[in-house]
Amino acid sequence: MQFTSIPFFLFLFAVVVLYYVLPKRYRNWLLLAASYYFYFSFKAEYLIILLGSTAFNYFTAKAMDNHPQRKKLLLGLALVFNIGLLFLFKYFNFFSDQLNALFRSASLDISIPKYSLILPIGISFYTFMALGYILDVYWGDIKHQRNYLTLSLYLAFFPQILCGPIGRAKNLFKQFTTEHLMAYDNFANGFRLILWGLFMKMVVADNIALYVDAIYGNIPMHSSLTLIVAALLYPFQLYTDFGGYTNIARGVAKLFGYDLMVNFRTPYVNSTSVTDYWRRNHISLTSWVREYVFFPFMGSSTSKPKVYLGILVMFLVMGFWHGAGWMFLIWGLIQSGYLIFEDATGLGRKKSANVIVNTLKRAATYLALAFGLMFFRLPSFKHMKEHIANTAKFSLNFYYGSATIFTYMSFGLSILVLFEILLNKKQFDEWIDSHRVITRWGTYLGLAVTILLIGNLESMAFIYEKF
Amino acid sequence: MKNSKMKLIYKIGLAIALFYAANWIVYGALQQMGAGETNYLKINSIQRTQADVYIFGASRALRHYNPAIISSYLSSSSVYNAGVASSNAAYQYCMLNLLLENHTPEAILYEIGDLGKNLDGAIADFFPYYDKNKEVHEVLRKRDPLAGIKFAIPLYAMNQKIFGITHAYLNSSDSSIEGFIPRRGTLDLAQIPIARQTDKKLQADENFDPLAWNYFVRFANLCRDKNITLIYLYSPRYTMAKPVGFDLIKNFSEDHSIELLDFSEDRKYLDNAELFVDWHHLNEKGADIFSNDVGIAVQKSLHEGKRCLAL
Repeated sequence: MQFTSIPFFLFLFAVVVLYYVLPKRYRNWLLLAASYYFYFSFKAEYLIILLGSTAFNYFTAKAMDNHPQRKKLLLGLALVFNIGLLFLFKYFNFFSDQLNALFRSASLDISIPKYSLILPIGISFYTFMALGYILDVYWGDIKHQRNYLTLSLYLAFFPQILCGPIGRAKNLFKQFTTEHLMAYDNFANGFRLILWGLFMKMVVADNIALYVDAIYGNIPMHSSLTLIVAALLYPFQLYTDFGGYTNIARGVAKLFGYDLMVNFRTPYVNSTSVTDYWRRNHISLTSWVREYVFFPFMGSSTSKPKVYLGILVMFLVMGFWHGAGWMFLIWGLIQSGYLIFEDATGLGRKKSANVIVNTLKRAATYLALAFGLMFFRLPSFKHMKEHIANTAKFSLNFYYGSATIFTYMSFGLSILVLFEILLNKKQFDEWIDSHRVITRWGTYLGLAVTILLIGNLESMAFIYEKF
Repeated sequence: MKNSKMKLIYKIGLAIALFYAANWIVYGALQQMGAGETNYLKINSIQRTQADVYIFGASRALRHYNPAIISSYLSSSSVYNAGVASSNAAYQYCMLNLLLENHTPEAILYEIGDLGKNLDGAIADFFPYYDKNKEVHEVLRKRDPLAGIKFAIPLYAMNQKIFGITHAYLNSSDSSIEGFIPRRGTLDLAQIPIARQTDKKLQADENFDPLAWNYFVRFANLCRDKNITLIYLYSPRYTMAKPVGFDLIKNFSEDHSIELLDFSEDRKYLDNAELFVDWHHLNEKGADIFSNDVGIAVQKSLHEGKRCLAL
């Protein structure tokens, strides 16, 4: 039941109506039941893992508050459990491969078996939310959540369970215990975000995907120009896919009166440096890693070498969070390299009032990011080698695939870029709200008609679901 | 609180009304633009035709069979090209049912190769007939249980068609000869390696659509019931390759005594870039040469075979 499918919207309609019809004391139960049903619709077995994680984290946090003398031990247990869960489903086979290769090179007759476990959808997101909660309780920033229902909802809330945003317990617990009235503004902003999210995903991301996936599925066959265009399009595919998901998720949550974290602030069009980009891109993960990895790592130290080491650690964690593979680690390494370079040279801090300088900086930032994302997109060094080798041939024979799809993709992308320039740091719902009624309704109708006319209505899965 | 609720209900109502108005306006405009015998929305005009022989199939039918040339071999029987790009066997079955509402042709030349899952995009063309034709309704419901909901939004039927409709509308050179729209240009040889890779995927067994096969069989049964002569054809390709489900079709045609004319191994066409616009579509020149070949072969088949046309 993808966010872009008709069954999802039928489900959403039913849940919203029931939510506001039911007496207030039953509403959270309804949300939990709906969330479990939604998660269950992907694969029943996944739900058992989610239920297990909820129970473990509830009782561990409770024990932390009730037995402060055992806090450290309980924290250790919680870290082992949550990271172990991720390790088992996401990283075990990767480590097994590496160790087996090491044993082979040392001529040791040892072999670690591999398991064909399917990665439970959303596990990286809800495990980080669980870890954030446990660490907040450990540090005394919040008390453990006494209400089992609230903690269950915090981890399972259906708008965010698949791909975040990675919410914080202090923010969400309050919302789960507050009464949400049926407010016009929430519905208006919710629909606006859903509409913009659908446009990003169905018109831009899914049309780019048809082109980029065709190129990257067959790298040796393509010319330099085609590969360069694919590499330049991929950041937009990734962003509009994930950004589209996030907007829909935030919009859906708004219909129930909930405010989920802002996750993007037009990162690819408006960032004038990589430092600026990381303030605008996947904000919920970046801030999570900063709060729970970088700050504890730094302690009270402010020394530059330690800051740089902290940045390196932070981005390696982020790279590894995305997937078990050397390519993700290299992507993280490249990002930390950019940030350290910008900090050391002051490039990340300098802001220019000159439009031309800023435009050039935006273009340079985009190119740097697109290069880094090649490691993110390509599955192996072999593919990267093929990509570089073919790009170095300087052949200009351009493959545009289907003229229809290429036209839709270019049209959708142009509209997106135009909107992104106008939005800058604002969210779509805030921006559109500040316009006159004719502009607002014209935009809504224009977007809806564009989705129906050129969007890919096949409900393709979101890229971040596999993380 | 009460005001907020009323405002919300009023705005939702207004949004739905405006959305529907915009839908019907754009839908109507596109219907007008695509109402001719273009590749798109051919369904609009096919019911008005009364030809003796029809050509059915996907884009290779549309681009390869020149009715004027084929007709000259068939004692001036009228021929109409009903090919539609990206259409599959379920589409052809719907099209035949709509055609049979007003007219029963004598023969159908069916370009095989439309059993791939990749050819499912055009079926929404039948939106206007969803509630009007029982067979069309059944096909659409079987393909997609949510068709009823989707077709409540008129523009759903126009999804990803605007480029083709606008192109055909603006480009007068695309005007058809009895439904036939040739393609101009010659093959870019640099695209061949990519094309070979794509071909592999399209011909893989996973691309076989069992639902399309079901309607392929029903199409043949309907022709038999209506006493329509059916001939299967497979037109030339730049590289030698068979479509997905070819063996099934071959066995089926043998079991049911349906002629299968396979031109895909004809040396005249193989590796002849002059006759192709891409690796699986003939250009205008290639289509004319091929239509002559079809005319001769069909004439022979109809005269020699038991299923003779009253020519």
